[in-house]
Amino acid sequence: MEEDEGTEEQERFSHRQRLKAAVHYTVGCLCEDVASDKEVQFSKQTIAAISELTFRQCEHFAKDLEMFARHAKRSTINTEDVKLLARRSNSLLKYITEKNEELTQFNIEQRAKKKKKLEDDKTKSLAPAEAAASGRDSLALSPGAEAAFGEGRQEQADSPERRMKLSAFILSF
Amino acid sequence: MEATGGGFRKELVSKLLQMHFTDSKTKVSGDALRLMAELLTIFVVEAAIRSVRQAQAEDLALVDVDQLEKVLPQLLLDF
Repeated sequence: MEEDEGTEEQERFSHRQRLKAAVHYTVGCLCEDVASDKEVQFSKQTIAAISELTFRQCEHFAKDLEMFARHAKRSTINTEDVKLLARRSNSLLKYITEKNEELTQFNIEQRAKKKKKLEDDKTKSLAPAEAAASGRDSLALSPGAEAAFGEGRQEQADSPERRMKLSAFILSF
Repeated sequence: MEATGGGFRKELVSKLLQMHFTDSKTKVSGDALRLMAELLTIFVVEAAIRSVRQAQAEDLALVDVDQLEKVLPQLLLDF
């Protein structure tokens, strides 16, 4: 019984370490972008410190978000909670709000496209002899549509330049 | 290698948050995850850029922990 607890504890620890490594990797990529943009270099310790900082800040974020959702009598955290999390800085709140609107707009467009595609497929498959396959067709298509959806979002992701601009904005604030 | 596009991946953000929830029933919507990934990215980039500014003010080419330490209080107050 004690051994079980020991291994569970160990597993949780290694899970934590893996997440830390993932955060460290992402922070490394982001710092590299900043370094090449500003023509400076970061020491390894600085990158490690920023990673640790981000990892610990996540705890505050998670607990705040959970409380916000519970306060609104929900068990699912939505974008409103995230907006509330960004309340401390005006420019940050403005940016997050804009980003949220962009996301909703994008979702609406994607849904409309998907619907249109589905309707097009239906009219096509209405051709005789293919009617039986139509059900399977539209089912097979939806994962593809989802994949395209994901890719679109990747492309939509912010360019580093835009982020830099925002950062300068917050700094000047 | 889609992670090299910069920024946090949705899966990572989800796991980071889930680890600290006190209630296991708490869930996070997809859009909220994307927004959180954005927020975390801004946090990291801010930490980096403010440290760079501090280093430039001290006329240094290498950003070290000392510079990060100096900008840390205001950074934590802003987030």
